[in-house]
Amino acid sequence: MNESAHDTRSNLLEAARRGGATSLIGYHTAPDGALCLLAPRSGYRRLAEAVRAAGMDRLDFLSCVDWGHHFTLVLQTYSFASGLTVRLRTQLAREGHEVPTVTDLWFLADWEERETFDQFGIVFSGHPDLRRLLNVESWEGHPLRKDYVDRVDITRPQYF
Amino acid sequence: MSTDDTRRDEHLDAAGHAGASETTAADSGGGAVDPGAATTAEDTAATAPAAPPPAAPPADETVGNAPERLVPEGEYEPPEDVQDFLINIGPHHPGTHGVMRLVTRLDGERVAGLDVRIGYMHRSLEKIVENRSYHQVIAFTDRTADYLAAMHNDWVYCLAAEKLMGIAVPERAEYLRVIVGEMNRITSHLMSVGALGLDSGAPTYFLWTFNAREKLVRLFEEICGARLTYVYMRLGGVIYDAPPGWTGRVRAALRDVLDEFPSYRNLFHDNYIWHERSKGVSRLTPEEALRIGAHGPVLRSTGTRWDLRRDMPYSIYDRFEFDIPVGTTGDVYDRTEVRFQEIIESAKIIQQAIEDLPEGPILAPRVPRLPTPAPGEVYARLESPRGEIGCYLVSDGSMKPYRMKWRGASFHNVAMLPALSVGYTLSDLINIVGTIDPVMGDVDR
Repeated sequence: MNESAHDTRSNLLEAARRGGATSLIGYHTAPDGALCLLAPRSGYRRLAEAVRAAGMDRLDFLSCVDWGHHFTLVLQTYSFASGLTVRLRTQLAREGHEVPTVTDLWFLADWEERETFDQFGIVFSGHPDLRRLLNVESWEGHPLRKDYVDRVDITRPQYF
Repeated sequence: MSTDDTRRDEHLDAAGHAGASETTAADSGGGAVDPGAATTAEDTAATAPAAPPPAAPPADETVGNAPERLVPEGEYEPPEDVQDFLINIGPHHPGTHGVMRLVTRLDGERVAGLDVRIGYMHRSLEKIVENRSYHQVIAFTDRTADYLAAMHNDWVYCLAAEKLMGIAVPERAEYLRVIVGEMNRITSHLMSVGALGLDSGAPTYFLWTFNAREKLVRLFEEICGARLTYVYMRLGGVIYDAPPGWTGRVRAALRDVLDEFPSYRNLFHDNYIWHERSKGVSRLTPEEALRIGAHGPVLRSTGTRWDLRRDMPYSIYDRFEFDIPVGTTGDVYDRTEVRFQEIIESAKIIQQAIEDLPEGPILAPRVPRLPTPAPGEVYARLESPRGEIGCYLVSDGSMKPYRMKWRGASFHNVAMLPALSVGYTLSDLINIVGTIDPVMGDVDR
């Protein structure tokens, strides 16, 4: 890790800690060098803002992992200037939990959030245009959930 | 006239009426779609691939008063400015480079708004690989994702999986990966700039670049037996060694390709018509490029010298000398020019890699047939011809990936399409789509 990445990392952690446990639950460095931050759902937006303010201007991806009893929302960014990678995570219940959108922080989060909504059914409150992206509007269920059962009868195509 | 003839006449009459009513219905359907409004289920279902027009009014009512009928009453408020209207491009259109639908809001001839609809080729790569072993995934990454740069897709998956399992790749395999990866960048860029010629009315250029591409594709066939979906990279290295004399033939093919460049310039890149069509179209400043998250050739065309091969070196790219071509204005011309120059730089890298190619094994020893990596997560990114691609792998300790998230370069390129094309004319839009070089397999996955 170079010097500027180290500085960015310590500045970011300091900014995140300022919010106390309401914005940062824990952090560690992943084996691939990324700084992993775990935020509570209520502090997700605030921590995302802190990450953006620390110069993480590139969005790698925003997605979700279905762990059976809960979802983990994963948002990964990196910085042009320092090369630091930050992976921001928050845990959601499978049903009923909404998270605030980050489309105003990263332009490309727009489609990534639409895709996550489509595939997992996570609702991003404040998203300007939350429609399904890859599946058709009339699709039933959210295919990347682990408990998804495909009910499409491919012998009688009904989506064409 | 026999009975049969009468029947046929009746049939023809009916067909004529049906044809007339269909045309009118398509017109009124086009006028009634509002891209700003949230799409209802019926709307999308009706505009799915076959796109059947909405129920047509009886033919006899519409004949003669078509202009009034274009906008059904009560459904759509026509704007004050009558020049503002919608045009639908795709999903089947040569200008979309695949199955993509562009619902374009036009003000006169200028694009005032753009709603990109994708997903027509969605095969759910991420769900498929959750039911495959780590080795089996490779065959899906090069088919289901970006098939014009299949080597890079396999490579990024291998990088992620190797990081996850702690596999060290032998030297010779790294060099072979760089050689085939850069060759694939050349074939992909030749396809891209050639297709741009096709989009802008110069089909000859497409045939020329396709011909040049063929020389390298034959060499892919020699080394791995496939021309498009290679499955050449495996966990821990590559599967076949270079056949005898292959490196010499690569050099000869590169020389042939580069020798053609002056004629490409004469035909297309220095052509007055192309300059008129491309210069100043879809300008992008470095700040705006950063805001919309541009990457790859689109970002470099704005003058930002950012290339993962140099700035976050993966594999062995820190050992090679090469330039990063950049543009100045970020317009259509610069994006094409950046791709064109990158072919020359890729050729330089291949020359160096062939010179330094060491002897030795090509596959890491003791890679399990059924790997079960320790629980964990990993992300790998690399610079594909279309920009940054990435693979996020999550393992739960079983023999199948628990979750894979694919970051497609084309997906993000298409997502920024509205930001690039609003304000330019409809004919420019086709060229802009060409310069972001979308591969719909990578967008829809």
